[in-house]
Amino acid sequence: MTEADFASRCNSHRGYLLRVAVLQLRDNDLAEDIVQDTLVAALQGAQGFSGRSSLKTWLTGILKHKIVDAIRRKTREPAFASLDEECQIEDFDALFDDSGHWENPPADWGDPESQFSRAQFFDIMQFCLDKLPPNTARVFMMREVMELESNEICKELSITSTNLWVILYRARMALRQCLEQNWFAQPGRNA
Amino acid sequence: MQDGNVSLPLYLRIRLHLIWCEACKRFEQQMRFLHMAMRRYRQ
Repeated sequence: MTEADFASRCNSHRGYLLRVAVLQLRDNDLAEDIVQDTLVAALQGAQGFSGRSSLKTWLTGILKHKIVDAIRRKTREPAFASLDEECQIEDFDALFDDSGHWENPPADWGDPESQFSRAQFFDIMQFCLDKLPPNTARVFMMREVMELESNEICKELSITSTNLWVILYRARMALRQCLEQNWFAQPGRNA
Repeated sequence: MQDGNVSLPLYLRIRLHLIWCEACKRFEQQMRFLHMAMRRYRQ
């Protein structure tokens, strides 16, 4: 493969890398810079791509380090929103009524593969991810997309493991509710 | 998928509860669904 072909293949993942970076950083300009740095690093280190993982996975790995560095820098800035607000657990038991029973029993979402194969599912998923509060989205993406270990996330963001679990729980509950309302509530989709 | 550590007695209580709690099973399936969706998202 020529250098130009490799550059073109890397560039075809720019949109995905940008979506991930924006979700984590909530700063379009910074995200653009980070993705640009990622693609430059990928081209400079093309020999390091063995082909054992997909190109997208390899690029995501480079992006992960760039994002962690950016978050590390941003956490030193006063403008970086405090995590405290998103670590509150007052609504932790909102799923249940006073007697401890489900407020709204969870619905059967059906077969995941059949949902994933529908054209608009991941558009709705993206919509729901975009609606998460900034720090909640950042932590959730660090865990679920960047696949950082819990202790790495706690260290980078200077939060306790309890705070981390609360944030991840809140992210999952928000995504669950958003998908219920915007995907599964639509006729014919819960199959 | 499990982000928090629980003690063995609590783990066993949760597992026992899940045997008969249908809503809990659906909730667990929903959480698994989200995890799978995110895995597919990054692929």
